[in-house]
Amino acid sequence: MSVAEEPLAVTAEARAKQKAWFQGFRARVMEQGETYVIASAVSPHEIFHTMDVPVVSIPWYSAVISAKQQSPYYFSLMDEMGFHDGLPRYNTLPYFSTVDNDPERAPYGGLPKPAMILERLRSDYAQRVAELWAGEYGCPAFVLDSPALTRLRPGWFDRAQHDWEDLYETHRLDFQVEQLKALIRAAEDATGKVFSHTRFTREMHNVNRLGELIAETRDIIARTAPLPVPLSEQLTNVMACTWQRGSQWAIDHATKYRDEVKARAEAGVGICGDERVRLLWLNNGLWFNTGFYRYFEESHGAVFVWSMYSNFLSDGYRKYFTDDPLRALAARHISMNEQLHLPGWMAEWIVKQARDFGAHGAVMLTPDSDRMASMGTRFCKLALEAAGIPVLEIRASAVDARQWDDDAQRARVAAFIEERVAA
Amino acid sequence: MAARDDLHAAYAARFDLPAERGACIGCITQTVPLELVLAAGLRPVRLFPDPSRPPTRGDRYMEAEIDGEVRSLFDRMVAGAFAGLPLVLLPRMSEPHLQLHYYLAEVRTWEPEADIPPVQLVDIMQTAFWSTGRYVRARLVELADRLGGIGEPVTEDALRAAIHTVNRMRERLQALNALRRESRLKGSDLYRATALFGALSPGEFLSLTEALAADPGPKAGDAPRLMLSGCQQDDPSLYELIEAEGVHVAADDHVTGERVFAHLVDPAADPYDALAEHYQLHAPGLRQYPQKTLDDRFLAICRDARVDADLCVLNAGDDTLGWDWPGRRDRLREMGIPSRLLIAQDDFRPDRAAQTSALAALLQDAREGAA
Repeated sequence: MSVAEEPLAVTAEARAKQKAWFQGFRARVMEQGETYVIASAVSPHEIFHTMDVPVVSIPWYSAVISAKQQSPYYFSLMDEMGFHDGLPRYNTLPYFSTVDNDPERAPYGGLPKPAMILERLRSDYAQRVAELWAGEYGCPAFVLDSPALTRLRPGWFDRAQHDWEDLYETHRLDFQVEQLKALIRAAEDATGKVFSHTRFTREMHNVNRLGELIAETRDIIARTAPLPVPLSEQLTNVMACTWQRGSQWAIDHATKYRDEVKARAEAGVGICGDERVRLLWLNNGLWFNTGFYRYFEESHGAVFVWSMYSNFLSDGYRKYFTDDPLRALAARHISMNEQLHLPGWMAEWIVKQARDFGAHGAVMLTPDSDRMASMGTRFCKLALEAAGIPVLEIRASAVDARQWDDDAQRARVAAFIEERVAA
Repeated sequence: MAARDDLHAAYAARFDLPAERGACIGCITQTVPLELVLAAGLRPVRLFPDPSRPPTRGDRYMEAEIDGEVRSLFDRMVAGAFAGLPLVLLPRMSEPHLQLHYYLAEVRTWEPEADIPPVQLVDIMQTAFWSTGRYVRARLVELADRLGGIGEPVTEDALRAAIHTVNRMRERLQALNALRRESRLKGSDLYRATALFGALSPGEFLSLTEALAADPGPKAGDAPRLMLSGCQQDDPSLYELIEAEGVHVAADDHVTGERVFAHLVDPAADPYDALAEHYQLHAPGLRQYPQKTLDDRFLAICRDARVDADLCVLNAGDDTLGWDWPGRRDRLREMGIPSRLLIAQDDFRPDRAAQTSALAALLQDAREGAA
């Protein structure tokens, strides 16, 4: 085998695309005065893509703030305003950048007033932040409520693409379709743009094709040792496709990503010269320090092969349909977080990933001050360990660099590999 | 004092379930649609958390970030405390309650020997939208069908009668709250009476509260008047701590306080429409939306109850109510009412010294403001 000396060429293209997208966004919104929308990650961006309305994803901007080391400032502001330090931080940083209203400090000059803020109500706090944030801007907040599942059928990842009517339950989908119709009308009113059914249908098919390409790439990565692409690059490429889903660019990029990974796999090119240990990264990404994923390659021959971002786009987003793309869109988002965090669903999916990727252990980041992200983790840990996969749980903020002790966490993971995985 | 003694005795016996449970329906929280249970000829029994006993068996599966009430109920469920009930109703008044529904489903596969009764989530969503109301109504009709299969089929007449009965229970609590506002009933005693809503049979409840209204106990006099807000209280111990400092809890704003009985079901409307609207828009829950409506209501109560100060107490896992407090504090300040926030209270081992200290500081704020 040989060792990859450089990142994938497509990784630079993904970064360039996101940068160009934001430059285009700034030109359209800030210079030409076009409308745009701020939306949670698990809300139906597709509606706005179809209307050619730019969407800023809340966790994306939060990750940008974090990566630019601005989170400590905004957290201090949060403290000064009286918001206690146990409140969720992962998705609320952008709100505080708005409150601060300092374009010199905010990444890319900050977010101007949107046409609306769109939030899906999982948790009890999202609607509160959306309401506060919308009040700060003087724009409407549109919230999508989340009906509960009456039962969790096993194997959601096998049923979610074709058998979604039964999996997600008809009465819930009926309700979600009603909400989406209301959202389309509100979006048309707020932006002055028109929802195109033909474009929407095409984009929905495009997302399915995109998911197929990501699934193919996932299969290559899972079965290939040495690992051909580091986790950090998986995230860059898959997330760029996720934010640009529905577009031809995303399909073209995912095709190139698959081809480049496949070429490396066939040539026996890996990222670690002496790969001995394959690990999963569970739960939120460590956005302010993605280099952490590669700390243990030289020292322990340990690579992180998977996180939930690696292939949720393929397993969770694809919804095949014949004649009702709006119902398929309802199915895509109605249980999106739940698939990642509900006990049972979370655990069975991750155990399957562990087996598919030949993982020897897992490191689980349980974020402080984000109890939604902690839910389901104990069942997941039990299920993995019952399947013979040891788990190390790290408790830390996923976005607050102030609270991260890099040396201590590095030592913990090293000890975990030595004492529980490699032993 | 006999009425108060009876109240305290009934509250102390809250964990005792009837020996014969076949016609009893377990009710988690006071937001279960009692009307449907009664209309089916069944006896609601409230299932209480036990804050005096930290969870053991349940915490193997449930994260410590989840509220103590839910952790305690999960622990008690897994331990078989509610075995024999034909059904437990679990309203979705918060995300942790919804999670309890999923955790109870999953734990059955891990502990197949655990004697856990059937649990039905009552999926009451609380966004103030027409489509949400229709969704809630359909869920209530489904619930009526299920309860009718355990007891008697729910007829319109029976449902109207049950709405009348439960409204009377709420009105009785409203009358007690009026006595509290006049400092003639302790906040801790109103808390106990409210906790028994859905725990006693309607007859027992009406009898107990009628007697309490007639004999509420000693008047609080001119003690400082406090609003207790924030997270739900799972027993009256914080009220008692405050009262022991010579302060009257004249009002409260949390989901196990006076919000339980603040609104009546419309007796004249279609009964399912009326119930759906009540539980969607008015039942206390953390998912009520928009927040501005709740904040306005909170401020109106502070004004009308003539409170001197607001103490907002949040538990250790709070990810929700802390978003409300800074705005409320600022608006209270404009009204000349100081507010203090006490966070990170352990649901099973609350920091009583910190609570006492926060109360003292708040009273000092109030005195300085009045001076």
